[in-house]
Amino acid sequence: MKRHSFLVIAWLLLTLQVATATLPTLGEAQRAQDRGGRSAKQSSDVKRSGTARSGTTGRKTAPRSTSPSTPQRSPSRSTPQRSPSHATGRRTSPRRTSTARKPTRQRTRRVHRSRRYRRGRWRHHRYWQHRRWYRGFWVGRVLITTAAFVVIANSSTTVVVHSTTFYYYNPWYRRALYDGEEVYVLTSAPIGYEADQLPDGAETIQVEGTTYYYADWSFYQDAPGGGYVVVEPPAGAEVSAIPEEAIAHEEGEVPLYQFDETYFTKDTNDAGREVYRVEPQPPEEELDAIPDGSVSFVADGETYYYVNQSLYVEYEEDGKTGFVNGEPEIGAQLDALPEGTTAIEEDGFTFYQFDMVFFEEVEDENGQPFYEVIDSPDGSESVELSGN
Amino acid sequence: MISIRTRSLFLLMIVAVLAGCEAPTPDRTWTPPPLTDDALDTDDAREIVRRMSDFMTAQQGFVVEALVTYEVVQESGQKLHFHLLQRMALRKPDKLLWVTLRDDATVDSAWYGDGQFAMLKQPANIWGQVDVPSTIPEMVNLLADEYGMDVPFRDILASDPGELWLGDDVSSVWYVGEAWVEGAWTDHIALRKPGADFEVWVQKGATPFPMKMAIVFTEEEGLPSYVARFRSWSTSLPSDIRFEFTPPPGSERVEVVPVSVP
Repeated sequence: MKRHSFLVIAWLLLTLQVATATLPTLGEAQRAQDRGGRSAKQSSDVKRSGTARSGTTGRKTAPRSTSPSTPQRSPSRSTPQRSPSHATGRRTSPRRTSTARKPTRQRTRRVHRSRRYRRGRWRHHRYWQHRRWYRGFWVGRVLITTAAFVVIANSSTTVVVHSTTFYYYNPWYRRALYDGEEVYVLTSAPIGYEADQLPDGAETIQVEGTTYYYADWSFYQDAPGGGYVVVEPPAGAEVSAIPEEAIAHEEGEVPLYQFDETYFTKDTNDAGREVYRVEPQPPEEELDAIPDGSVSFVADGETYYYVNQSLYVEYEEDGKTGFVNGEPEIGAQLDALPEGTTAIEEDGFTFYQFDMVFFEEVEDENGQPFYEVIDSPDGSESVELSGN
Repeated sequence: MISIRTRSLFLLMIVAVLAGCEAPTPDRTWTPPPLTDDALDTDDAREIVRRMSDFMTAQQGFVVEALVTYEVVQESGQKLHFHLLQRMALRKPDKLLWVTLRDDATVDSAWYGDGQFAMLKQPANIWGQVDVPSTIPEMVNLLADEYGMDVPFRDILASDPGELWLGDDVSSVWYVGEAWVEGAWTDHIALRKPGADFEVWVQKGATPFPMKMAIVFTEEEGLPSYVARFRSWSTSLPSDIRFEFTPPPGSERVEVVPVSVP
């Protein structure tokens, strides 16, 4: 009997503890109301009941990360509207701090030209003539990769090149961040990867006498020790297809297609077949420094530097100095041509070419020669120069 | 007959139980103090939002934690709810970091500073980095527009939050009432703008922090909602906070793919 009494007492005490642990907190809230504080204001037309439903039917069942079958997810944004004053923040025209005044020399002779430049000469450069239009694009070019998002099986072959893991899952994929999520993106095979056999459907391509093989959206060559090795896409190579996921850039006069870090143009070859031609890599948009010994020239008081087949001009922004890809404008004047300029004689007219910048020699009112940047002598374009 | 040992045991139990009966420490969350009138008290919704906006804009830095719940409408129409626990630290003009713990136990950490944005995803142990503008509002817009990355609470980080909440596209601003949220009395404001019904609970008094936000996306199928409850607001940053990103050992850098082509 005494044993039972102890148990009853213990049970009562336990019950009391649970009760006191709960009630005072609720009671405290009630007492706060009772202490005479004013009650919370509520609009009379606020409907509060029946909106909160508790109880769930279970955990989520849909995959949530890399699968294309990921359920539609609302972004965790705080408002759906974006500021109307949206700005990408990318520099679209560098603030140049040069104070040099534009020369004001007057021309003394009239030149009228209309001729066609030999097309093949800048065939692989013509798109970069419009690089100013691609400005934002070049800034992020190494980041742009079109993507097919898939789940990669654990059994896929992995190759690590320069700290990047490539997954062979017929064809190749690598990880990326897309929409803030981890995904796998379709990619070219890693440069230097060696295979015993070419993938099915490889096409053989000749570029300037060298044999390449194109398969899995990658270029292969015969490996010295047998087998095949993945190489950089050779500029000028013509292939029959590119991935559907390639991004089309329509900013220039001719669409440019980008897959991974390779750029293509669409054309029709001599046999009348539609092909995609590999274009050279675009120039870096900006440089932090100019390598010693780089060719330079001054046009309209600004110094242009020639680095990696591209021209850069100095700018200053937020107290920092950099060099941005750009060419002198038509009409810019120079006292001297850059080193390595080629003189071209055509139809009795001499003009000068440095990379894709063209010059002509003119004279000022005192008969002193200087040079002026002229338009590309491409196609039927004509340049009307005013003066006497 | 009960042995001495058993009695001792019971006595110990009773002592332990009695010790547990001690009055619990009052929890502020459960004990709203009475509301009192003060000079800042108003039921002008626009004024409250403007005051919050001005207050947030004036802060040179803050840290905050938020518990976020958002709905996802499935093709069947069924809504699923997901949760995020987020911590954010801001130091104006150009330092920001945040950590998001998702309910699938993945963690996203993000750093912004010196014109660079980096995101680390764990346990995947991958990170990406992109160049971004040197001001926070521009960076926020760029990440959202070009990379589809949502910076948490981007309207709080906007250069003028009030403009977002009280701009011309806002069709109504409504003072709903006072509400007890996360241990603080707040003013509950409801706004409507194209595409969203928006509510914000602004702490009353001299520190009008937003304590809760709720959004219903009215132009999306199924009207999914998003709710964030803020807590632990502080305008003084911990001394050990680091805004510089250092890749963890063994992590892999991956490409950050734009969602839109410029």
